Amino acid sequence: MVTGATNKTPHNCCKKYPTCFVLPKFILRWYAGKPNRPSRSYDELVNKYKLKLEQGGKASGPYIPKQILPEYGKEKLLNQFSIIMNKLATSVKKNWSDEQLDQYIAPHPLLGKITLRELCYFTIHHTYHHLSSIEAMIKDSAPA
Amino acid sequence: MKDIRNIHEIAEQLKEAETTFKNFGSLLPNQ
Repeated sequence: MVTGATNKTPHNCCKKYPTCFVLPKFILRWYAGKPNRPSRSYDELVNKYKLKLEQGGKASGPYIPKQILPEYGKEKLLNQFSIIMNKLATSVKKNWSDEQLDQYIAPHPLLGKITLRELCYFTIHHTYHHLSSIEAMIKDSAPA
Repeated sequence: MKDIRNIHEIAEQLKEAETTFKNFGSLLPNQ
């Protein structure tokens, strides 16, 4: 298992996000339903996520990061992450409108059903969240 | 705190997060 900072690459939940953005919209509607509230702002979404973490929320089931063998390699891991994020950014721009991001929802393991706009906000925040985790790990492991 | 106003800015921020993380990660050791 990769024991260091590279294991903090945003985990396999990221692999699932683009799926919502490439599915036919009627399937997403059938699977997740309709929103019953407006989208939260970026800050509101982040605050709700932080609150869930403070309450002990953790990844579960298929969202638990899988062990990564050292031979997998950091570059491969980073490239995989890069491909997924680029796929997501492209799908958002290509397949969705601003209005539609507020009209469709998807399940999130901690936040419940959130709009696709919120899912984008979460993905942005979550990436920086992992980066901060790595920075903290490096700081903690540095000789005093 | 981020002020993301529309879908174009969302896509830009996703790309920026990806680039920032990848650049940071590339400086790290493999283990």
